[in-house]
Amino acid sequence: MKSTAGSQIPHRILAVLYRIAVYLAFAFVLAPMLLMMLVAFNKADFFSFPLEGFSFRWFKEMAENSEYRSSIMASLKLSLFATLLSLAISMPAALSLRTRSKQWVESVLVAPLFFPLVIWSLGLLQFYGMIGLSGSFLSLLMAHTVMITPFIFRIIIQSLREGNPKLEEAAYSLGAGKWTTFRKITLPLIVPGILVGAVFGYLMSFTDVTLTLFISSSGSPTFPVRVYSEQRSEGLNQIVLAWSAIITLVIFILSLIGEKLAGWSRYF
Amino acid sequence: MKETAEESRTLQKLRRRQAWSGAALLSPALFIYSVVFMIPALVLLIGSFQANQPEKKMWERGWALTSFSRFFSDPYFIKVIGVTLLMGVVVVFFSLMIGYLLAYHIYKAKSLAKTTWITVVLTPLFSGALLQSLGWYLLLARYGPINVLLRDTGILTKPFNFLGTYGAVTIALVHGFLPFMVLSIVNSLRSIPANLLDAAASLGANKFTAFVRVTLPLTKGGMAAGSVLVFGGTIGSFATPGIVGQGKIQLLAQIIYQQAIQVFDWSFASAISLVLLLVLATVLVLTRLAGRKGREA
Repeated sequence: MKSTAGSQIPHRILAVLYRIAVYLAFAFVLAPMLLMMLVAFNKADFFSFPLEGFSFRWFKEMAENSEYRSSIMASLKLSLFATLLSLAISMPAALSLRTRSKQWVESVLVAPLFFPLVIWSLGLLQFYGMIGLSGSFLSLLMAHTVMITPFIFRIIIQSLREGNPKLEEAAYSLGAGKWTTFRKITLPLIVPGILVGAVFGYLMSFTDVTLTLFISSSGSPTFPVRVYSEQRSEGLNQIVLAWSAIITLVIFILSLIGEKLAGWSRYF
Repeated sequence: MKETAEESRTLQKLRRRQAWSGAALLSPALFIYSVVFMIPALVLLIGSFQANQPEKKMWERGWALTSFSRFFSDPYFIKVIGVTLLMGVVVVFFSLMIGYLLAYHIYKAKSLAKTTWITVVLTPLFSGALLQSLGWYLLLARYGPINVLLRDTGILTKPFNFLGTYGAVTIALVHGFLPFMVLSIVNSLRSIPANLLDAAASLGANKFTAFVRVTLPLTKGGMAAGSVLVFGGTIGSFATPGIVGQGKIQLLAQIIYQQAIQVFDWSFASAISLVLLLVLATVLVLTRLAGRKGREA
């Protein structure tokens, strides 16, 4: 071990530099979200820095404004149905594919991951036009379902494969039927995976702009699409910032709970 | 003899039944996928090789390569594809640098700090590109905090509108895709057996040497996976360039939207999409090959 005073000092400087770099990087990650939160509580009519003062004004206006609320409700509803439908198709598929029997089907089910949304949305826009489904709730529901299914399916199949098949064999040999074994053994083992997948899928559907904007040729069916179109034509509305602050806060709390309880960052 | 024949018949029956129930379990997923994914992909493929005749039904249109020849003969579109690819490379580079730093810090952190830092990284991932872009829109605006800071420190005398510049879009994209990089690297750091680093230390390697010779090579896979995600995300990104670029920065996805929704030239939009897809597929294959070579070496 050689440690002279000369090599100690640069070492300490490097350690300090490393700390500074880490905190700058975290500040970079947090800055846009924090500023958005602050501006949501700003009492001025328009955004300009420095901020004018603390106020709940925009949250009150948000509560009174029914247009934004109805688009939030539409988003919540669409994402809920998409998540449920996605779970309903992913769970049986994952059960059937857990033994790695049909690799090609598995590849098909995760393929949308590798397709940029714009491309896929463009094909969908044309096909929906051909079969006369454009603009309907069903068209959005099916598209959102397939958008989030790769994630949900992957998480469920991963937790199925982490589980020990011997447990299920034991249940069979003790006389439990197929359904009982699934309900009592398999399902409890994959519940954390299902929950993580469902929350992640829900949020992905809830925040989507690209897919929804492409296939809903007119109007603004969801909150993000409404915000995107408005921002491009009229600029940013303070009520939107109030909603965004609430959404960000809810997502932060969800992530904290998910990480604490299920360690869900390991699923990515 | 007879018994075994009977047994095998029962076994066959059982297998057939299993195959049927397997197919039944898969069919709902495959049905929805074929309606909203596989057939639309086919429609896109066919449409890009057809003339733009939106008034006609697909099977009545004529075949044409005009969309491709238009794309490759127009310097504007060549520039857009070049800019998009360059943007992908630049964003991958910066998110690797910043992402590794964050991932390493998270990996080393103790329980509560670790959970907190991971949550800080997860939140922008879950809240999506739009909300993050709105944040950058505020940060970089003419009357936003960065302009105020630069004015107060005397670097700028007049407020500068960063929105609509390549720099602004690059920063926002690095920020948006950083979580993917961080999580990929954190997960590959987690899979390194702790005793490897102990072994390196006991053989006399200092922390820096151990990091460069042991940790870094073992996280190559995570870096590659993160890079592919970030690159693909960047060259297909739509909402972030729209909000932060304010329509002045055109990447491929923005051009596709313009051609499809505003110009209504589906054939041309499909052709651009196909080019984008080919670029992505090439990158994916090259990364795979490089990964295989790296493992052999």
